[in-house]
This record gives sequence, C-alpha cells and structure tokens, in this order.
Amino acid sequence: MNDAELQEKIKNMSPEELLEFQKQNCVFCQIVAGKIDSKKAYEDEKCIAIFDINPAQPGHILLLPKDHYMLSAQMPTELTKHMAKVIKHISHCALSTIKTPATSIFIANGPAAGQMSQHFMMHLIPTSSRVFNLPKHSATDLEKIAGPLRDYINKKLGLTVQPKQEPPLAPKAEPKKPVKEKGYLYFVDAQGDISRAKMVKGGKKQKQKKEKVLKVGIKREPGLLYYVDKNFEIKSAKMNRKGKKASRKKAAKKSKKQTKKKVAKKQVKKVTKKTISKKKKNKSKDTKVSLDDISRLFT
Amino acid sequence: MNQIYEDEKCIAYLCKTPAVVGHTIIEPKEKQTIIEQTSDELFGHLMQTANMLSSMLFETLGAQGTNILVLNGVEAGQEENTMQIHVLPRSEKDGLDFRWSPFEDKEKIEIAQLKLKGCSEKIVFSKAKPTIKELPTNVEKPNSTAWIEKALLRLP
Repeated sequence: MNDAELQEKIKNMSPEELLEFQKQNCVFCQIVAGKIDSKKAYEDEKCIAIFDINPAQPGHILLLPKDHYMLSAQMPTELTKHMAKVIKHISHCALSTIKTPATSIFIANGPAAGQMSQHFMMHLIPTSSRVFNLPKHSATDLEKIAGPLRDYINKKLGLTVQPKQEPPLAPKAEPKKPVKEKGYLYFVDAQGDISRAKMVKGGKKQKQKKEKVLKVGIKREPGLLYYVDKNFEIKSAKMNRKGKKASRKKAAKKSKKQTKKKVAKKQVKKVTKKTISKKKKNKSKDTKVSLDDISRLFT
Repeated sequence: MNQIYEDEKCIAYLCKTPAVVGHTIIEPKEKQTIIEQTSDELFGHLMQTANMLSSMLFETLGAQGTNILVLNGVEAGQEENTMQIHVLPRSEKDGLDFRWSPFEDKEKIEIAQLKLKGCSEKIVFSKAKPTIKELPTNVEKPNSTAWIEKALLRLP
C-alpha cells in the first residue's frame, strides 16, 4: 500500500476505527496482548510494567496502561491515580533492592517532548548518575506568563466564576439602642443625629455641653418638627405656622445676620481709624518743640 | 510567588530558574522530601494535577508537547528539601534534549532486572477490607423457663 492511499484511508475512518487501527499498529498494545515477548516486572488489571529494551540505567521500567491512550490528558482520572500509586511502589522497590540513591519518573506527551511511541507510558529510571539535566535560565518576566495562565486555569476549572461560599452569617445581632436616661433632653441636632444635653431645674440658665448619642444622619426637611421617641427612634410631626410662610421668616433671619455682620465690620473699621489717628496725633505732639524747652537750652 | 494554581493539597507555581518558558513546579502542602513518604492518595492527586496542568500549558502557551518529570533524590537532580513535580511545555527548538544513551553494561542490567522483578511481583495492593457486619443486637434470648421445659421433655 502506498502512503497516499493509507492517508486517505485514515482520513475516511471514524474515530473508533482509527483507535482500532492504531491498536493494531501499536507495538505496546501487542506486548500487552502477549503477541510480542517482553520481560514483565509487574502486572495488574489496569496496567503493566515491562523492562525497557534500551535502558538508560539498569532497572529502567516502563509502566503502560492496558488500554490504548496516546497522551496523558486522554486518560481517566482513576487510571492516572492508580498508575501513580503503582509507580510509587515500584520506585520504592528500586530504592530498597537495587539500592540506587535516587529514582526519577519521566513522562513525555507528544513527539516534541521525546515520545517515541504511540502508546502512553511512564518511565521509571533508578538513577545513580544524572539522566535528566534541567538547565537554569534566569527569568525576567514571570508575572507576564503567570497572570494569564492563572486566569485561564481558573476559568477552565470554574474557580473564579463561583465566588467562595461564605459561611451562612449568623443573624446580625442588632446594635443595642441606648435607653433614655432621666435628667437629659434628647433632641435631633443639625447633622441629623441624636444628641442630648443635661436639663437643669429651677430656671438657671447655664450652657450645657451637648453629647452625641446615636449617629443616624437623617435629612431634615423644612416644616417638620423632629423629636426622639420613647423607643429611641426619630419621628417627625408637621408644624403649624398659622398661615405664615417659612421662607419669609428665614429670609428675615438671614438679612438680620447679614446686617449684623455689616455693622460689625463698620465698627471695626471705625475703631482702627481712630487708633491710627490717635497715634498720628501723638507723634505730632512729640515733634513739636515747646517754647519752654528752647528757653532751657539757652540758659 | 508566581502561583498558578492552588488546591486543598497542593500548590503550583512558575519556576524562578526555568529550563523552558512556562516551567512549572507542583508541590504538596504537606512538606515531604521524597515520594516514598507521601501517601498513595496524595501522590495520585499530585500526578493528576500535573496531568491537568500539562494540558492547560499545552493549550495556552502553544506548546507542541509536555514533559512531566519527578526527580526523586539528590543524585537525580533534586535540589530542594520538598518533593516537586516539574511540568515542562516543550517545542521542537527549545534546546532541551531528554533522550538518553543506552546503558551498555549488560550484566548489571540483568542483575537489576532480576532483583526488581522479584520485588515488584510481590506488590499487592491491600484491597478495601470487607466491612464486618454488626451483629444484630436484638436477638431474642431463649427464655430460661422454656429451656428448662424443653430439657425436661427430652428426658425419657
């Protein structure tokens, strides 16, 4: 059969047929089936271990799955776990019987990585001298690779999509509301918070210090009276203005304030002028030489 | 730390002195120096994650193949005090070559093979122990009086 014919045949095959075709041509499948002689080291329901024909070191073992897989990614998870278990025990055997100081496990996926056959396999090499040398290059921008990789892996595994499940929060203990104490006046202050001041009996006028009790931050609206309830909640009631508009009063207040300010400024200016003029006068007094002084000089 | 993947049992990160671009290392969280100290389950899990990560690297970095390497022991090239699994994405012109020259001393090979065969054939994985059924606690005890009656009846 020519190569061209073969390729056409392969193209027309269904994936199941392809697998069988691969199996027929795979050397290791024939070893597993027993058609080719080999030195078996271990046999199992799922996998088989044989000695390599061209060992890198004495005791070089190949561990093969009995089914035909090309890459490690195709294998089911149970099989990989089982094979890992087996290879671990075999490496333990190698350490204990051959008494090599170390072992190395090698897996190659794809011909670029050095896979020689179409059958997946794990190499176990008891090493007394180095087989694999990993060169060391200095890396400059690891983060550039690491970032997108991490994102990709997380996306594939669905890790970031599902946010971490927070443990169900215990029902929030409501902050204890302070209780109204006797002898204090509770009111809503300018910031919309509740504050209190000490009440004084007997009509003595004394400035009392305000204390903030609770931060609420209510926005005040004009035309409403805000007060603190028995249950320590802010409530409001409409104020009765007897038909007068609120705006006028406020405007009047404002104007009063402004006039006050103006008056104050004027007063300050006056005072400063006066003081300056007084100083000038004083100076002029000093410079004027009195007649008496002159007469003294001559005598 | 250029961490790529984290799990309950293991961490994967990019190597600081990589042999190729995208050289990653997988470590168990429980620090253990060699493979033999790890439990079967842990090592299986580690290999599984290595497998998964190798396929991920294959897809993202446009590699043509991947290598999974476990260097177990100082003579094999282990450098740190914890066991590590290396995953290397490979392309044809990256300058790495893992092909080995065959060992030539045939006597040594045969001796090693004989020894290993004898040992590895003995590996038997202890299957899960059959759970012992608990004896039913509510067994009716024979009534003492009835027993005496029966015994009396048997007498000639």
